[in-house]
Amino acid sequence: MPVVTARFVDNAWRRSCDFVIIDLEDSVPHHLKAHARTLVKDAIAKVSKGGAEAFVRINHDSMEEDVEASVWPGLKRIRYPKTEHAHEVHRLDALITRYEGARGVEPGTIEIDPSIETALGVANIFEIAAASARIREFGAATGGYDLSRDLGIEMFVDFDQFVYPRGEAELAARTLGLGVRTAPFVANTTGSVSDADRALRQAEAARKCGLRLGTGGLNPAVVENHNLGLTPTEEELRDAQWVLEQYRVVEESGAAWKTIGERVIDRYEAARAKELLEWAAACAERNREKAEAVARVKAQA
Amino acid sequence: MTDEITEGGAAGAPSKRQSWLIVPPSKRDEIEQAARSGADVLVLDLVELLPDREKSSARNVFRDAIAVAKAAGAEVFAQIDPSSAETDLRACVWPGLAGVVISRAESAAQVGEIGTLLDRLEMERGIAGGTVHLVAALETAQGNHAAHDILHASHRMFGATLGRADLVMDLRPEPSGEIHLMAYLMQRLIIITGTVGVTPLGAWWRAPDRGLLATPENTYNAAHRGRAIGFKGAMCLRPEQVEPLNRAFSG
Amino acid sequence: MSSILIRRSNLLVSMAERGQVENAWRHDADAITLDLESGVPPELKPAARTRVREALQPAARGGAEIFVRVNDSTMSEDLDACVWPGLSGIMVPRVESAADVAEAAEIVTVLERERRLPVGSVSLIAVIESAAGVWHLRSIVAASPRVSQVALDEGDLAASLGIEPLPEYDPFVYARGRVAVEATAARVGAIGMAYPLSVRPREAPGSEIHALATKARNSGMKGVICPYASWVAPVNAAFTPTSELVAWNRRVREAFAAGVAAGTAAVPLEGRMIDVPVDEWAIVVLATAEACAARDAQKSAAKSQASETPSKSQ
Repeated sequence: MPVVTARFVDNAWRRSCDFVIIDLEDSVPHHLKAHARTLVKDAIAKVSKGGAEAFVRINHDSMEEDVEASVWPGLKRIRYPKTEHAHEVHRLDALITRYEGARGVEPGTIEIDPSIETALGVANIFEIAAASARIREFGAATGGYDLSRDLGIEMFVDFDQFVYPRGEAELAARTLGLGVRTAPFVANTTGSVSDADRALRQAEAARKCGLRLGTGGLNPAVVENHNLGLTPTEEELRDAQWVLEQYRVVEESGAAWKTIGERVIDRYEAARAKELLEWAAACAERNREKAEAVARVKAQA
Repeated sequence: MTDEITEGGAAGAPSKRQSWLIVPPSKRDEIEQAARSGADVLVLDLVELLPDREKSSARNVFRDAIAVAKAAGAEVFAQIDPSSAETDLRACVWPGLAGVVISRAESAAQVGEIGTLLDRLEMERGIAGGTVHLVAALETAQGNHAAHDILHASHRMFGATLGRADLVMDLRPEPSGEIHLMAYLMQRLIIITGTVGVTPLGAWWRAPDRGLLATPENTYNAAHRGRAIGFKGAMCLRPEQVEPLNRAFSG
Repeated sequence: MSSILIRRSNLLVSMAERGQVENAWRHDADAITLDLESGVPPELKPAARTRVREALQPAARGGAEIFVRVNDSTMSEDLDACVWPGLSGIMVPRVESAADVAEAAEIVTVLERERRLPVGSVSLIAVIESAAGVWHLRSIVAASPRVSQVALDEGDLAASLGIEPLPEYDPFVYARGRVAVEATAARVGAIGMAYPLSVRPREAPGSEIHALATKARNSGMKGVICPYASWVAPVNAAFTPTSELVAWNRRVREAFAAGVAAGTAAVPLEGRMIDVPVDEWAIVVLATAEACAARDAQKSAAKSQASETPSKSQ
């Protein structure tokens, strides 16, 4: 959300987000960018009151000024738009290091999130993703306007236009052990950013695929459904417990796998079940953290 | 080491290799049943289908397993774990072995090491140099990332497959029924095998197919789709999947 | 913004089909490629080569850019026969590496100098027909500043991989996606049709061609090589912004400008969020529409002139 819009910044903490992106880039008009930089420090504190992590999206062409304005205690991550070359990441890494040192932020804590938004970024995706230890996660053309513009395509059609860019991004991320914000293709023919139902369907599809990172949104209406869609259901949790019990039986019998009806119970199913239970516990913990943070804020009011 | 090298790929593979049935080497009756299935290739597996505690006994019976499998007219490959390459290869490189599937192949260096071990074992055991082919199973992100280098790393390389990448990489069904990321990985692999000149093996599996296991009908459909995008043969886990694979890839 | 290349349709005509060559200009294609390669039986190639020079300028009567598709096996002889005034560019088939492009570019440079053509005026369209070409795309599109477009010949690619494609199962989503990304990254135009006509072109109703060409455009293509004259009109239309699209993008620009004046750069409009990238896309669409209109005007003017003056070979 644009840092210059005070009501967004002041109320973001109420939205039960896991993360809030304080924007200095596309949602801030050019003539307000200098002013915007002066607002970032306070915005970081305000948005994280409800337990959300504070990220800042800086501008591609004013890296130094924006990093200077953003590196404060409480900042978790800097998103760099339209990353096209590894050397951009190297430069950003060095700037963050400098300001971490100057501002008493523990060195290495601030992450870099290189956003891949152009064809050249896709072409260079592996070298970009490998360019810094601060990169833990990045974005991969999940319905981005910028990549569409660069390729010259209209979005909101009924077929998947991003098989190649998404595949390249996921392969690079998985090879390097990084998280990647991506989701299975779910058709979006209206272009609406406030379509809560579609947000839910997409998050559910992502969850069932084993994906765990939310893609972020442009409208508060989608937040609840992103959270809901990515959180495992009770039925899934019961099933996971059952799989683990069955796998114990398999192991005790000395086999590597067995089938029960049409289901295979093997070490892969057991690993998925275990991961699901761990993920559910992590979601519950995160929800608890946010609820406590919100309760603290309200108690002070 | 003499090696008649055809452009980019392994020499002397005149036999049809469209259906590859993976079996554990330790159960003689399973091997006999597998051999009767009509599979072109039996893959005696030291990696995926056995619990760890059975692996060393499986290695001990490997040489006999080759004989049983070949008696029914199939070619015999072994599936090995590159992290125990020497142990596995010592167990399986005997006269009659046509090739080795490298499970979870991840680097050209692994392939190089395996090629060197094969050179030595062929010589020690009276097998004509270069006889034993390789198939790289690219089942991890790293393996797929390095695919071009891996497939270029040995003249013995006959083919490449995604193997059980859906399980190893934890790729699950999407709302459409397609398995996440597989369309991209399959088509990318076919381009890379086309560039190097090796044979792409695999099928276009869809939910609920999982880990090379599917009903005979789903196996046919997956192989039919796979052939339409460039695969030349595929692997499976059960004898009843063999006939559908043969049917889909010939004719 | 640098000028937008408008080359929506490139009509391919065999130099062995004299009638087609003589009438190619009538079909309103943005470009015409005189084919010396797959469209000409081997025994007729030498004769076809001798006719190509005189065919260049008459073919341009309708304002089209004129290309020649050469044979990679007789590259020098073919280029020698066609690098003459009136030639806009060369379509180079079976490109597998940067060296293939460089080879053609070098010969063209020598011929441009010898024949007093402006050096660099002859552009190249690289045609990829093998897995190796797809894999080495990046070096191919960067191999020469002459490369203006790159195409995937999916029929030949399928044949080279031993694939008999079925219409329901598109084998080349990866390959096509790679062409679109690498070409765009290099600021070169990717061209090609959507599946399955990309692998097995045939005549079809205009609405079907239009729908597939639209899908090609929304896959990152900048134009389509047309093996049939009947493809040209629907392809041109599919790659020209419609009046509705132009009107919408004008509204976008107005709304965004108003938002900026009011101090915001995120403006809701008709259920969509208009921010900087959406506005920048509107600029591109409007510029494309203008460039299409200009190109169409050029072609109209050329056609009127051609109708007024009886055609003469130069």
